[in-house]
Amino acid sequence: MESEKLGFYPGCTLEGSSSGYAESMLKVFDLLKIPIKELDDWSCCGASSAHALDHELHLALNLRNLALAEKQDFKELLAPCAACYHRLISTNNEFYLDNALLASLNKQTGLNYQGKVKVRNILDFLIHQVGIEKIENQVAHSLSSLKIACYYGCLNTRIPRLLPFDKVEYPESMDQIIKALGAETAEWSYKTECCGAGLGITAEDISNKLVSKILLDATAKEVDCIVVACPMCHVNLDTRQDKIIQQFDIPKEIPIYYITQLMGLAFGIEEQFLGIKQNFMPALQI
Amino acid sequence: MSDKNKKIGSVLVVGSGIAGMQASLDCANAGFKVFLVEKQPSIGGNMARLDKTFPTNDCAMCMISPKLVEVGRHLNIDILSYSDLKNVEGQAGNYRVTINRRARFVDEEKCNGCGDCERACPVSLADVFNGELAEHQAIYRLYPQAIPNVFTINKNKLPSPCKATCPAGTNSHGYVALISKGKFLKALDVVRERMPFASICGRICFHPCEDVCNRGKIDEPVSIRNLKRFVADYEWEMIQKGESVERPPDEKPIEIKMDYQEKVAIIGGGPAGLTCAYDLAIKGYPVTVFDANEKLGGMMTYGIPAYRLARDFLEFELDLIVKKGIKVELGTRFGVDFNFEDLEKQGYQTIMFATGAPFTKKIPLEGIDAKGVLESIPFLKETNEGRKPDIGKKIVVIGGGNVAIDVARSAIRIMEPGSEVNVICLESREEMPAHEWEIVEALEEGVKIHPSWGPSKIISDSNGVTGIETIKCISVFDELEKFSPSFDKGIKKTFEASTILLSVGQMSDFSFLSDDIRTKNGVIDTDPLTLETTVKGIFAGGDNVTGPKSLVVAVAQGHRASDSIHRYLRGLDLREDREPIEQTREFAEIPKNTYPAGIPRHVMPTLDAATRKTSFIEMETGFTADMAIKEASRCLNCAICSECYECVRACKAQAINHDSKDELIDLNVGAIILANGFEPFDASLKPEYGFGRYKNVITSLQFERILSASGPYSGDIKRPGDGKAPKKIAWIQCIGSRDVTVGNDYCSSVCCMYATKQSIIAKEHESDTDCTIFFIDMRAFGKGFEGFYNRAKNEHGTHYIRSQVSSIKENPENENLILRYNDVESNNRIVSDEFDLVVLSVGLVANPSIKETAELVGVQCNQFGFAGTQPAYPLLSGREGIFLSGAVNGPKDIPETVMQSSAAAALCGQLLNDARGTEIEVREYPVEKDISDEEPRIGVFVCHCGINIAAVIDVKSVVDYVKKIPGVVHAEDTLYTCSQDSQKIIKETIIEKKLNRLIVASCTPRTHESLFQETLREAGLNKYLFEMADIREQCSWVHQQEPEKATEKAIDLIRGSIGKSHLLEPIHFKTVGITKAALVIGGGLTGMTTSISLAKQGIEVFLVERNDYLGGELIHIDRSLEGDNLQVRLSDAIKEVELEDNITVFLNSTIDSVNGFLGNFTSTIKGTATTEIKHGAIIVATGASQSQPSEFLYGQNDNVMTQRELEVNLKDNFIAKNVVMIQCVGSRNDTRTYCSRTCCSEAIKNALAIKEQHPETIVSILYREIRTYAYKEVYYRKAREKGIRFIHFPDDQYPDVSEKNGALEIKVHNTVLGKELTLPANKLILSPAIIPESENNERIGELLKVPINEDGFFMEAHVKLRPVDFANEGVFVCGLAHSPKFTEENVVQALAVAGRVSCILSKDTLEVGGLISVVDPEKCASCLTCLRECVYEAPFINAEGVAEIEAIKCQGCGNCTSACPAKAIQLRTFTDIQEKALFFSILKEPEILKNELD
Repeated sequence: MESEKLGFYPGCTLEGSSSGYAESMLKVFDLLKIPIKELDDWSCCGASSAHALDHELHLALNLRNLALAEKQDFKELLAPCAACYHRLISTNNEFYLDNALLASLNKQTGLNYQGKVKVRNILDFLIHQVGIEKIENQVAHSLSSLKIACYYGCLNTRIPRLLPFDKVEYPESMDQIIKALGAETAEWSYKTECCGAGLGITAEDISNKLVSKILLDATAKEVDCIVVACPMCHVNLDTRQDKIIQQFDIPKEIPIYYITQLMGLAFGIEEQFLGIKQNFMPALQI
Repeated sequence: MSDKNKKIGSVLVVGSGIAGMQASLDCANAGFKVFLVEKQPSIGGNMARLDKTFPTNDCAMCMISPKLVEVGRHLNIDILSYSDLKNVEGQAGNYRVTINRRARFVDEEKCNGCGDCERACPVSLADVFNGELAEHQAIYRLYPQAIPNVFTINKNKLPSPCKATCPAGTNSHGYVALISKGKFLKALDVVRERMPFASICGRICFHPCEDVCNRGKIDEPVSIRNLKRFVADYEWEMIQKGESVERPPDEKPIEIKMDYQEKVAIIGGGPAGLTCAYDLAIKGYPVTVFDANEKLGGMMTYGIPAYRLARDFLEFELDLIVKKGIKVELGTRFGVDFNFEDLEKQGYQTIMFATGAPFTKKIPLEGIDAKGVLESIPFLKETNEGRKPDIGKKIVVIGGGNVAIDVARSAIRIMEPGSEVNVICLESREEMPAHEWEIVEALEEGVKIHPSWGPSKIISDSNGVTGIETIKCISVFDELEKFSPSFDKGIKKTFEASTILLSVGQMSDFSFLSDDIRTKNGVIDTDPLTLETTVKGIFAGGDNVTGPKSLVVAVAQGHRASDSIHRYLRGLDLREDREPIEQTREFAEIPKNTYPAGIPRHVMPTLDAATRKTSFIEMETGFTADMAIKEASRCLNCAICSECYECVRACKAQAINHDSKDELIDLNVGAIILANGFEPFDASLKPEYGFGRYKNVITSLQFERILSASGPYSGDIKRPGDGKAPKKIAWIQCIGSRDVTVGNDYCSSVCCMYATKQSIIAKEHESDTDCTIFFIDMRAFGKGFEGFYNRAKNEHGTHYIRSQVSSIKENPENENLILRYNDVESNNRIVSDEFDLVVLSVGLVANPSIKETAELVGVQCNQFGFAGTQPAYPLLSGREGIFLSGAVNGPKDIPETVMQSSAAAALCGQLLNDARGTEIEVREYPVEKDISDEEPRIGVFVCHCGINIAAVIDVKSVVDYVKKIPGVVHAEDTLYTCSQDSQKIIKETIIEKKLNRLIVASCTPRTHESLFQETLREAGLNKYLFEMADIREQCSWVHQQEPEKATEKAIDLIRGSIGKSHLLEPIHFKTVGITKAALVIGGGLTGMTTSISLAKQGIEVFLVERNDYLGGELIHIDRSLEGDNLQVRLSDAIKEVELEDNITVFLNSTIDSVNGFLGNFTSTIKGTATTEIKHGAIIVATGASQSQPSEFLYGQNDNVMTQRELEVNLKDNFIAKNVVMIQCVGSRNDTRTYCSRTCCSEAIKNALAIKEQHPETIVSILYREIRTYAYKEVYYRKAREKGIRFIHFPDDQYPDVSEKNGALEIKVHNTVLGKELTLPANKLILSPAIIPESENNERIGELLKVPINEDGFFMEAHVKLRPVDFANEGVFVCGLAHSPKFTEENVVQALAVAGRVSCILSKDTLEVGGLISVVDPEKCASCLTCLRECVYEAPFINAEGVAEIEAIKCQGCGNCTSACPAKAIQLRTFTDIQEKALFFSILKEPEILKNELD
């Protein structure tokens, strides 16, 4: 594995509400012998509001992080948060398209980004860089007793024209990883449906309604848990689930895991090192 | 001319859909030999899969079936189906091609399509033809009407893993397949072909077959061994019950027994020896088996404990083998009781040693000789004989193999309760060589296993053994994986033991062998291929050659030895063509169209451990029949055909040969037509629509099959999920079309119309079905399409929603689909609606074979994989002499395909004109039988028409009734009377039963009469001794609700036909000559193209143009959308016409009169002079024109202009800031309902030209639909990319154009924004309609007696299959006179006419007469009524002064007959007396009638 070349961009969530995601990811990467180093001095990606309010500000924010990555000699920057990934990759792409814009933003940030950093999504990285075979070989406790719904959310496989690594509307990458862990995956209708994202904070009702449909379809498919690769999805599906269950008559609780948490469990890492306790919904006995 | 440059008068057609069939027929009918190559087992292509066709809703099968038959029986078309083009060399006019005829394993000549094989075949696969909604067998035909109507076996090239892995070569796949269909005894016979010990092997085999079973990749392997056991038990139980297991004579295994004299001695009655003996006995050799033991069976008898293999089965099976005629001598040991010399003396000519490895290996161990240390094999022998040796209460078994486990488990069964059985072995638990399942069972029974311990010392006292000391074994094998155990002597463990059983391996004893039979490494040294020992003619096999192995390996050795012995005794080469020792490791993968039932592997029922450890009762109790069938149905049929040979036994015609091989054929052809066609887009490539995941999301082709009466649900509309009738159906358009994400930027051209058709048919099936079509643009651009669309909308109530569905979700409660979409035309609401069934309107994509073929013949493909690259010349492949037709060059519908095919035939005709007629054969019919003195002998065939008739009418009872009618000597029912096998039956019946009248009760004579008449001719009967009773259109279809009455009516109709048939008479033809010249009316590019092609085919052409110039309407158009310079093309054509000797041009001329008939017309051309010409065919190419707009200030404001006027302007620098275009000006309105087809593309062409000149110009196209079908879609996309604005407005809200101070302003309601826009325009461009030349068309229509449709265009004979013919024979239509279309399409149609015309004019004579009216001169009063009535001008007053009818002109319409006041005219076969007989017979029985008629 190419050392010192993979940077880790945690973003705000992986430091906060989704620390279990970061914790489990680092453990899993460690076990898979993939060196990864956190980007030094990173700043906000502007996912929740900046990009909607001020396009150039959003570009500048992300450019700063990309420039830092370049300066710190990272060839690739992994953003496990789907929203961060989205912001970073779309900024990066905008620069490939327009040199003038790049020059103007470099001026604003005082950094000199050359556009050499590749932004990676975690699913893309696991499938194409690590490879299914390596994941399979690492499995110590097959999850063969589980049926799992892979929930990709809206951002992981979009934007299609920016380096698509999976089918946009009905992705399979997470399913492939879960299958490699020995579990069965569900064919369901809500893989890429919106969970409400940031509306979970500002307009909870809307988000709850959207989440309820996701949970209902997953229960109808009789899954044991849902697996996600996005902090926003996790928050919306997990933290208010008890409330949503009551409000929308959902027959049972469904644990929500990060993909790296399930990988960790299958790899034989103990629960306490995977941040699973931080999930709101009670964990399965795996 | 050298031989290489000689032109060959034959044509190769690749692909046999409607394109390939039409091209073949037109080539063959124009005098060329045709070779029609098809990959599928039968011809017909995609059209055969359709239910109905748009826009007339004709039954596709009814249309294509007569074509199939015509191609199938055409003397000059050789169908090479199930074949691939392999190689092409040479050049235009003379190609040498190689074709591989794939083995279909069924002899086409012998197979009569009866289907007995299909019924016998146990392997079911998803039926791809039926959209995988039904099953067919491994031996199959595509559909019941298939031509050639023969079966094909679907075989994978590689073997099933199970079969290929079995050391004994047992056909596991074969017997599993048979079991899955409940054919247990047949399955057992298949087992016994290679495995004489079915029952034994079914119990104890270590089943390597299951290890490789592909099902294991999905869940768990098929329980193959237990299935084998089941069938053996099944037979055994039948015998126990006293039931006969005698197989019916035709189902017996095929055994060819000779009577050989050479005696064979086999030493050793174990599995190897017995197998060898069994094989040789079956072959017919006298064989003797000698065994030292008291019983036969070797280790089967003495080594395998009874709890694994019950003695009853063992003895039964051994007995069965001996009964094959084997002499057995027991209790006699070779080398002790007898020897080589004795055998020689007794006349044995060869010996096989199969003495096994029955001795236990000794190990050097302290105390090994103590009392109480026993060997395993004698111990097993003793316990198996039912004895209970005293071994005390604590035993230790040394060894970790299967025998050790057998010993331990046998021991526990004879010991007192509470005894202890310990197994110690060197290996770790994982390394133990015993089978895992046996170890687990042993543990369950209380055996204790101590892995990784090695014996170091046996402890004993004076009474014998007391225990054993062991040391820890660290590893068993060294780095080279050689047996080399190492120990930690410091770690010791001692076991108490009353007995120690040694079970560390077995060996052979070879003291009996003579010196010259050498041994090597403890086994007999043999040639591994032949098993011959070092002494010639002496063989050995089994454990004494392989070392201790399994039963199945011993059986394999037995087979190998028997083969060698047979060869040796027959003096044959021992090595030649032997089965290799190494089995193939290349296995078939899981086939695509096999689908595994979701059944988990059945677990063998077993006695519980507590019960079984106390006795030797067999622990496994066996599968039940139900379990066996279910377990067998888990098989994935990897090799597809299981080679069970059931078909071979079933086939009465002996047509099946499983050993047939592919065959290469070399042909010499002058030209090649590629007609590979399309395949439907794979809907799983758009996973968001859920195809393959949601059961009730299907493709349009699947729905087509569902609608079809011969489809998977017999024409009932059901949804695949639960079989319920869907009440609410949605179609989603553009699946895989107009979609850059899958690389298909083109429009598939047909989906809008087929979805519309499907919605109408669905409603016709169930009138309360709610149908909704989600679409982007409704592409109703073809002739009659717009009206069809309007009828669906307005009369049938199909909902059309202009929206792309954004998501499909399955409702988990009811498997309905929830569609979400933005309803643009209803205020942009986001709507979620639930449907029972969703049909994905999949596009047409290039058939994968196009690429393959294109590479072979050196032809380019476009970016979408279709052949050819020049849109302007769709028929030209780019390589001379290789032409394209149909969907091979891009998506299109049936009439376009048919036109291209006739056109391609014309191009072949041009190229190969010199060689025309050189390769063809002429059909000869048997001499017609004179029946004039015979009493009527009537045969009646009643057709089921699948379920079209039989679902309503009780066909059997009709036949029963008909049989009793006097005069009827034969009556029978057939599934499809029109099929090729039925023709054969009819012909044979006519001859055999000496029929002289034939009646078919089926569909309409319109489509099928000629087919049956042909059959009559082939049987030596005049074709007019035939009657058809239409019991489908006139009965079953219209009386679906009253089946009983419909049955009665069918009987009445048939009785009518029978009554009439008594009076039928033979009618004979006469031959007339043909004038090889054609009259072409219209000198546009279309007329000129036809003329040039005909001229090049050696036909004289009179080209008449009313203007003083050639060129027609095309002079107004400069370039095509694709950028071709049309003016250059036009001037080239004019030059060619002028240079061509065979063409005479008449400018400023019109047709004044037309007389005559097909092949012999006389016409006058009026121009500056009047010219009379004689010709054999007439072509109408009179074109159309453009309408003059009267709206949108056209003519009032100079800035308002038509597209054509814009095009003129564009030649100069065209400057305008804002350009607005309005589409559908004068098209698709109440007065002119049709679509003008070309305007959308013309607008885009000009808009792009504007953008090219001045990119800053704002161009807005206001439209109702954009109809850029096929590749023109690419330009629509390009236009959007260039920033051309497309603004949709509703059908009933045309834009409002006003002028303020000379400036144009356009108000338009835009549906997407849901509001009115106001657009400024410097130029307003209108797209006017293409309109027919109504006055001219009417005049010509009257002159030629050809019809005009409601839009004023000429109407062809049949919209789908005869797109350029008129019903009036010898007259043809092409170009804009037919309907609006593009230049390249006009050219194709022009060539198509040339192709059709040359089918007539390439012949020298025509047969005339037949079904015509004749005048009885005695009765004629010369009143001239007939002359006035006849529209074809057939009657004239002859020299005798009475009316006579010109045979060739008469169309048999009957007008004159009914008008004649004197009843002097009779229409043949519809004479008054015949019709009376028909009507009276419908009412009454024929004999009563006879009196009345007299």
